[in-house]
Amino acid sequence: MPDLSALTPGDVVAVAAGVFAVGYVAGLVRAYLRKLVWVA
Amino acid sequence: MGGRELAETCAGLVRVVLLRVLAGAAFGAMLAALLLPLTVRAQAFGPPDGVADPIHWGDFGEAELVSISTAYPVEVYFCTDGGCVMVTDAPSAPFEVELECWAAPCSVWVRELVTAPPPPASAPEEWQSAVVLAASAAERAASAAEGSRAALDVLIWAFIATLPFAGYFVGARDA
Repeated sequence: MPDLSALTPGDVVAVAAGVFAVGYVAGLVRAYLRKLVWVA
Repeated sequence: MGGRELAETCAGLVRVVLLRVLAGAAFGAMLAALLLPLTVRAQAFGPPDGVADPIHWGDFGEAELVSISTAYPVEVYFCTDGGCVMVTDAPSAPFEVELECWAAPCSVWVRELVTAPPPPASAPEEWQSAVVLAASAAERAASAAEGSRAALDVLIWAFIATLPFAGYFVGARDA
């Protein structure tokens, strides 16, 4: 587990926003793929 | 409304509530991740008890030689997340003391004792003992702060670990 004290608050927020964005995009892609399959 | 429709409606409601809760948790986690380190940092730099008028203070990291020039004896306080300790009481002035910060951020506070008698010209033995005292005090303070900091790290990383799942559900909802 990375040491938080080595990170600035900005770094921590960037990591949090990054992992949230990855999950968000994954959810979007999966939903669109399901719609494509339904249309096909 | 049939039983199947009722079940679907209830499932939809539960899903919406869960999504709202997850989105709120994600927002709260990001806020906590932002605010908690700032809080820890702010506590580390608060003035130590009993030091009303510090003439100098500053933060530093790792090993650093702190030089203080003053015409009067001074009290020097070394502070970490674990609290403050008096490094040396009324040493000769000017003097230098080497402080090593094991767990940044650290700070040093100096108060001038204008009512004390003038210092002697030099007292290297006292300086040396002050360095040893600073090292052991800093080590104790760092070890005490290490436990609480590790617990805080686990909490923040646990929050961050929930974020991809929260993002996934929010993204699927927005699509």
